[in-house]
This record gives sequence, C-alpha cells and structure tokens, in this order.
Amino acid sequence: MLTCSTGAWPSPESKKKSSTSNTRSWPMTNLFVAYTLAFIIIFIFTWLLISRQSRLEKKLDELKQRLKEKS
Amino acid sequence: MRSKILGILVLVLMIANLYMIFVFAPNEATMGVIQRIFYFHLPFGISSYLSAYLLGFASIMYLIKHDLKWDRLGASAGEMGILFTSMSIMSGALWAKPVWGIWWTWDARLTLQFLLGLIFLSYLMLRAYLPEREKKATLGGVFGILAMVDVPFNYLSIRWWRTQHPQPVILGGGLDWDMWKVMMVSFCAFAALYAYLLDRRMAIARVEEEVEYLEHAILAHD
Repeated sequence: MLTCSTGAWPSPESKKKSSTSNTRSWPMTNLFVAYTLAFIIIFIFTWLLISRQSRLEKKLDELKQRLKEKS
Repeated sequence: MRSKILGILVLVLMIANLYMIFVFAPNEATMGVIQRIFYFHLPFGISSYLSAYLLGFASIMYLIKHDLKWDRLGASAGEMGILFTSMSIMSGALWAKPVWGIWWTWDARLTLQFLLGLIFLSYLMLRAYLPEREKKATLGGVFGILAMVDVPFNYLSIRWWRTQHPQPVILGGGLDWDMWKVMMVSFCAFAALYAYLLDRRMAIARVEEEVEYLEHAILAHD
C-alpha cells in the first residue's frame, strides 16, 4: 500500500531550476488538459441550463396562451 | 437581471483568477507547474461539499415543512454536486498521474469522494424515476441526508487514516503567502460561479413547476 506523502507542501521555487522538469511533458500536458476540460465542462453545463430555461419559458408561454383560449 | 450581474462577475473574477494562477502564482518547489491544478481542484472539492450540505439541509427542511421550495433547492444542489464532484475527481486524477504515477487509488479520501458522486447520482436517478412530486421530494431527501453525512468523513479521512491524498494545506499552515492570495481569488471566483449556476438552476425549477401546474390546469379544463 502506498503511504501518504508527508513531504514539503507548496513553497516558492528556488532560483535553481530542476534540470528534469523542463524535459518531462506530463505535467504541462496534464495542466493544460485539466484547465481546458474544466472550462469546457462548465461552459457546456451553463449552456445546457440556459437552453433548458428558454425551452421551458417558451412552453410556459404556449400553455398560458392555450389556457387563455380555453377560458 | 441578477443572473446577468452574476454572470459578468463570474467572467471578471475568472479572468483575474487565471491571471493569478498562471502569471502571479510561484512555481512549487517539488511538484513544479502541475501544482497549479490545486487552484481549481480545491474549489471543486469545496463546491462538492457545499452542494452536499445544501442538499442535506434542503432535504431536512422539506421533511419538516413539506414546502416544495426546499425540494427545488435540493434538486438544484444535487445537479451542482454531480458537476463539482466529477470535476474534483477529474482534476485530482490529472494531478495525481505525474506526481504519484497513478491515475487513481482506493484510499479513504478518494473513495469517499467517489461515493459522494454516487450519492448525488442516485438522488437524481431516484427523482427521475418517481413520477409524483411529493414522493420524489420525500424519498430523495434520504439521499440528501446521506450526502451530508459523507462530507465530515470525507474531509477528516486524511487526518484519521493513512491515505495517498496529501495532508491539509489550507488549515495545515503549509501554504506560501503568495499562493494564499491566488487561492483567495480562486475561492471568490468559484463562489460567484456557484451562485450564478445555482441561481440559473433554481429559476429553471420555478418555471418547471409553473409548467406542471398549467398542464394540470389545462387537463382539468378539458
């Protein structure tokens, strides 16, 4: 079983850059994918909410019209 | 009007947030750039907890008062909960792979967060399955309370048990001051986003109720 990481938590980078961090593409790719996915999902959710609301409001207007005609 | 104001506020705060995250925030010494996922990952997690508490509170209030406005709040919180729980798991996995070398592990925190997502999903599925409004609200309320019960175990799991997930940072005193500033802006941006989405979803719930009422009124007329 993997043990929990109790090492140093976020602190500013020292002036000496790690020689390996620039060569690995995983962190940058994952960072880019994470933020892109986050924004895409939030936009889709928001768009779904807005379109659902406008569809329902249209239906509400139609129903009010129908009820008006009947009465 | 309120929706528009909230929407503009979200836009402004998110732009400021992105600037703070990618320009202002310092690089973390051991994890490097990947640590910047933290500024979204933590607000996603907190938003999922907030959704659970809103859902639980709304469920309890409905069971006491039988006022359908609480059921509207619960349903809205449930949908938000699914969104933010999934996002916290997604961002966590993308952070974990380069740092831990794995996408996922069944440790206490991750499992309880996954369970929280399943509770939200079950709540929404139950509501979709039941046709009667009152039954939907009453039975759904049980899942709402379950979601609320999950949160303290979820939050304290990293203190109680040996987990892969790191120890607390915000309340553990381990965050650099510049990173704190970025985190505060992130919290503000996500608070505005949550308020905006909740407001939109509650408006939909109100219109749905009106539509249902008018449909019954037209049927009665016929």
